[in-house]
Amino acid sequence: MNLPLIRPPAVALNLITPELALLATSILILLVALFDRPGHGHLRLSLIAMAGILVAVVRDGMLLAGGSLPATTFAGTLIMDPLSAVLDLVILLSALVAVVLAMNRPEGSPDYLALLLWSAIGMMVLVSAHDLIVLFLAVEVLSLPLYILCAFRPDRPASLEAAVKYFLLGAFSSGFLLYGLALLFGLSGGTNLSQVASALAGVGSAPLFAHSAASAGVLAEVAVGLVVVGLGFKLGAVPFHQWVPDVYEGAPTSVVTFMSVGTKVAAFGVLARLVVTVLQGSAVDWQSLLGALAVATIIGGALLALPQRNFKRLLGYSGILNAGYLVAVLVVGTAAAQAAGVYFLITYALMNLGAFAVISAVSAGHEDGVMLEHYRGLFYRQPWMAVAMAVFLLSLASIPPLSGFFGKLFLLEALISGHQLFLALTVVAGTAVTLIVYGRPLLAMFIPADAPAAPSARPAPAVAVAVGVLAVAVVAVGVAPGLLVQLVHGVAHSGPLAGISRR
Amino acid sequence: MLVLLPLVLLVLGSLAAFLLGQRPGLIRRLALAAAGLSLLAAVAGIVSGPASFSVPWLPGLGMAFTMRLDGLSMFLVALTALATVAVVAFSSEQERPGGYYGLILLMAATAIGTFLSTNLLLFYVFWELMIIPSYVLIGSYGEGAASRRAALKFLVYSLVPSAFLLVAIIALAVAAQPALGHLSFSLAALERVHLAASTQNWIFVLFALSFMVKVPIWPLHAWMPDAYGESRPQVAAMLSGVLSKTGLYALIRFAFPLLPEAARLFAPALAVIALASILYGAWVALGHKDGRMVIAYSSLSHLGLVFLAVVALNALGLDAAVLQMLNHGIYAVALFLLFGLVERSSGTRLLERLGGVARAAPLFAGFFWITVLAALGLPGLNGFSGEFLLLLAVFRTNQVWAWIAIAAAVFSAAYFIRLFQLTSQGPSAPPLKSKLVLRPVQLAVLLPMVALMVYLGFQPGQVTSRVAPVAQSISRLEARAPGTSPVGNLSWEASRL
Repeated sequence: MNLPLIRPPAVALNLITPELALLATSILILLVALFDRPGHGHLRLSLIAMAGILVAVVRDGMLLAGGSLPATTFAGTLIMDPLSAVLDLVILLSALVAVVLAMNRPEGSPDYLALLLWSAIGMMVLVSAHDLIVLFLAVEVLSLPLYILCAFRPDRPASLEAAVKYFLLGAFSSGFLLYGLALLFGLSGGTNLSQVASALAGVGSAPLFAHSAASAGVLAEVAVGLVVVGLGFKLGAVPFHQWVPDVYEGAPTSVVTFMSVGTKVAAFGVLARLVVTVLQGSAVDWQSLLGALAVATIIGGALLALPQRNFKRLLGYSGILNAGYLVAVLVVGTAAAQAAGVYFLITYALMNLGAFAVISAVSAGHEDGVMLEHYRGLFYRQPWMAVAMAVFLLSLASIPPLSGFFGKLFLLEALISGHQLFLALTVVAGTAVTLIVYGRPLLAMFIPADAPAAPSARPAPAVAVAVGVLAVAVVAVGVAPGLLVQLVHGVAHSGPLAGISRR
Repeated sequence: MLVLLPLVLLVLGSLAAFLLGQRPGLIRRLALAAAGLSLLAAVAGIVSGPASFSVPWLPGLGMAFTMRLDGLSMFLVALTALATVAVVAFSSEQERPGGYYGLILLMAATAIGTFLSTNLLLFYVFWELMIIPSYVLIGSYGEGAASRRAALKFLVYSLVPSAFLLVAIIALAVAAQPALGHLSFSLAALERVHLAASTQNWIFVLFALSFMVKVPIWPLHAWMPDAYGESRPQVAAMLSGVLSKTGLYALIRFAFPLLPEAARLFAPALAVIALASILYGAWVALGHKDGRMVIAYSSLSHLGLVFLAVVALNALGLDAAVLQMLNHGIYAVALFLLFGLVERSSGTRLLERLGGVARAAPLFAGFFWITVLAALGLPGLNGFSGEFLLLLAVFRTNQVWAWIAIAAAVFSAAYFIRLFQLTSQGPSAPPLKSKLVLRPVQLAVLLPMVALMVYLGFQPGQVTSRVAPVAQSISRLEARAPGTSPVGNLSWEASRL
């Protein structure tokens, strides 16, 4: 009797070297920590983590520049293309900044660093996922460490509250996602995204259960809807946003810094991939679905951000708002629009990481100095931090010629070229409101405080360096947007982003 | 390079002020030098005639650093520099001087940037940047919580329409893309494209709203009393003398040539708004108790007249509008600054508690009187020449508009004379807190300004002859027959959501 020969799938490990580098680093950190006395040697571990992240960045850059992309591996379940490679870089950047912010802080322990790296691995796999099972596993790999990280300051009840809230809602959203993915599997008889795509397009489908064409249409709508709900939670889209402000307020600043960018990047990446590979050719009315989600998110985020007095909550709502912009640009559905979204996401990452780094520096030591009144007259206590914060806030408000302006510009161009005028106007309406949101702390920093505030501690040198580098990057990318366009040009096949980089 | 020089000098001066921040005297002299040199460069620009400057910035996006100095922009650039010199000369900021002078210079630099840019995106960059220094100056150099509220109101009124302006600008370029073959924000390229009327209309509405808020035109003026009232007189002078002109200028430079059919369609409605602005401003100015508010509302009325001439859509109207913008800039800056001295020395700006300044400070009163006469349109001074040409232009388009506008000129005389009488004549109501003396540097600025009021009163042709070619070419675009078939249907029907 001849047993069929089981061939192991072709595995191109070189495509996942960035993820492998992080994995090796996390294991190394845990091993080295065994030989450290408890509570000591954190600086060395942070340096190891930073080195590992930098190795991953270099490998990722080599893949991006090597010209071998796009390529699939693990039997087509993972895809490495310019989209995932660029988003990987953003995820790595946010992990790097989080490591820097956690240095010399109570939370900067070996477990913290390892969990952070594992979550980053989950995010990187998620943006490369080309298979429903991998997609779900990646969502879990990125989420589980984040639940623990949110609770990493057990001395603060707010931290625990944030973790419980995030965990419960996150588990709930995983359920939605899993239902949606199961339905997609049922409709298409396969888990690979290309199989799902052809099933939804109505060609070559081998469904697991018999159904009429009409019920298949409804099921497909429901399945896509459930998946969007599940990913909407991760993205923080309205009405799935309730966890965002509480988690941002309660979790340690370095964790919030990481998740505010990393989770958004990962959720955007997987949503963009689903739109382009699966939904584009399907009969599902995904544009109305995402459009409605975008409008709700932008309006909700903008209105909820207005009354905020806590800087971290304010940035949480601003993160919701920016998630709305990202969903909006996905509605257009072209590769050019996707590139605009990626560009926007990178600029958002730079200024958002920067803003959190300043918060971390200003509130040095105690997590509670994050109300807006603590920023009154900051310019006269820590002038450079105030100037850097002004740069980040102005960029978040998309004031030209900072990087946020060009992110918004490309986004609007993509929306208008894609005949999404209503979404374009919604985006600027949201922008207009946030200008007021950011305008208040901006002015407060430059008005001398009535009573001399308690002298604030000097920020750690590494944090100061991070703030400086990010501020310079925000200005440089604004004055010379061509720098970043080069990076994104692989994602776009046409449109202004491709046009600029060809020159 | 002469095109850029006024802008570059102001930016350098502002950077130096920010960095040297601590010594008031030094910073003030430095700011004065930067503004003065910038004024010289601007005057040299007028003498040497039209010029332009262009370097590519983001070619794929059709963005370039394109600046053009022509009849339309050269006088406004010079006005900005002149206003800055005057404002710095009348400032004696002791507290946080680096920020103050740096922001004043930055405000002027960004205003000059909007006057010079002939690439829509570059224009938008300066247009947005202009808001930030004004916001901080109103909010952080005023008095207390009221000034912060005023600043927030200014911010809302400035930024909300200008966010929509960005959509309008991008939509304009995207709509013109099929005809041009590439995305371009260049004014020269976009002028050649004839857009479908449905597209023009909604873009024009967004343009006009954004520009009218900046002037301001009734009923979009709600930010004005707070911003002018709660800030320093010097900041109010900049806002009214310079920044208000950017809105009118942008309407002439961009909205009308690019969207001619929409402009023709909306002109009657805009004219009604302009008339309402003229009458409302005059009415409030006539009865206001606060002297500074009288000047503020007189600006609303006078700029309403300029706006009326602009929407009259003829070459003379555009020509006269530029002349009167220059005139208004000169006398409004002088009025705000001179009344600011009265406010400081008497500690109040309520007209009923003022009086007798003429006896205490005759030299000051002389300057104040001449400025008031120029503002109310006495023949022989600059206010008259501009007002006359404006009314003539309006008369050519619609006689009814002109008659209503003339009625407002009578109001103008009444409220300005009331302002002067209550401030300067009669017995000195409360004794002045501090002596009202004009410092030599203030005299050195006021004398040329008064000379300019007289000179422009007799020789308005020096301005109008330089503006005429531009005004004519814009009104030719305006009157372009819709012969070519329109392109770029980017209307709401095509929107899918």
